[in-house]
Amino acid sequence: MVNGLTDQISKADPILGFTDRHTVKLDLDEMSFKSARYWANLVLRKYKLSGYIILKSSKKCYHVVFDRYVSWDENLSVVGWVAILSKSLKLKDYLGMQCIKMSSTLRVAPKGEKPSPRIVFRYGSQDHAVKDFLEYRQLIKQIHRSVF
Amino acid sequence: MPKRKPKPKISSKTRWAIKTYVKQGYSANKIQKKLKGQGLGIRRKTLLTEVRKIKGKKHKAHPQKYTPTKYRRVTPKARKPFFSGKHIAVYRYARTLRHRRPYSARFEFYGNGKDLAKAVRLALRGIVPRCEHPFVECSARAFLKDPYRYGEDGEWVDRPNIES
Repeated sequence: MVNGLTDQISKADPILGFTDRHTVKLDLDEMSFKSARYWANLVLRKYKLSGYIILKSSKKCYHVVFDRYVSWDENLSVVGWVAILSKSLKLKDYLGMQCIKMSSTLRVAPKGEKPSPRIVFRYGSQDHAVKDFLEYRQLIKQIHRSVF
Repeated sequence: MPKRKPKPKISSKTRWAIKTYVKQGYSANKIQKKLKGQGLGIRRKTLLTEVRKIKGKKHKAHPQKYTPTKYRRVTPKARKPFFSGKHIAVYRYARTLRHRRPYSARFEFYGNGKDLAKAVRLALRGIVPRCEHPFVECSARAFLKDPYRYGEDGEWVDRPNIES
């Protein structure tokens, strides 16, 4: 039986994230660090994305940002490929959401009790998309710090 | 000591000759040829200035217009501000006085760092996208100029609990 919405709606701060269309970003939830690194390496080799960073967003949740800029079509192709092969329902949801918005987003600021994602692993080139992502991440963190 | 007058570019004889030819309705080319024949040759630029002075005419407004495109002096174009396509997303559920039921709302701002910071602060203070247009993508500067064009007063709330 569906009861619908309860009255428990609490005020919360909005989440700040980084959005663009040309950086390949993966949101790997419910996955160990080893699996996240395995998929990141596999994608890196298949699509020649030159480098990546892995950020830990919460327990068993990782974000991966790749260094080579790609077109929006290729971006969707990469995320879709990983979502299908890894059989990750959460990644499929993530892909669906990005398709609706027509741009992909990763959280940068804290969300509720979760802290802001922190870098846990780097591999390969970091000079292009990763560099720009980290610059924006810094800016968003500064804004967040100044507000809260 | 009296101040010396600046040396005239053309002699009075030449000036007189030009005046006569202009009155007779000669073209600049013809005047130049006549002067050259008399041993009074002058630069064309000087001649044209003199002719203009006699006729009481001004310079043409846009001389570049009469120059063939390939000979025109090209001024470097002003660089357009580079837009990287990167946005800062401010998102969560929101509700307003008009819509008490929470809806998924999202601002996506782009622009320079200062504007982005101000726009995000403004959005955090309690301006949320309207329920009719919950996904707003705009420049931070435009948002700062007129925030109520893109949103309305409201509050950001947590994801509503759904019991089933």
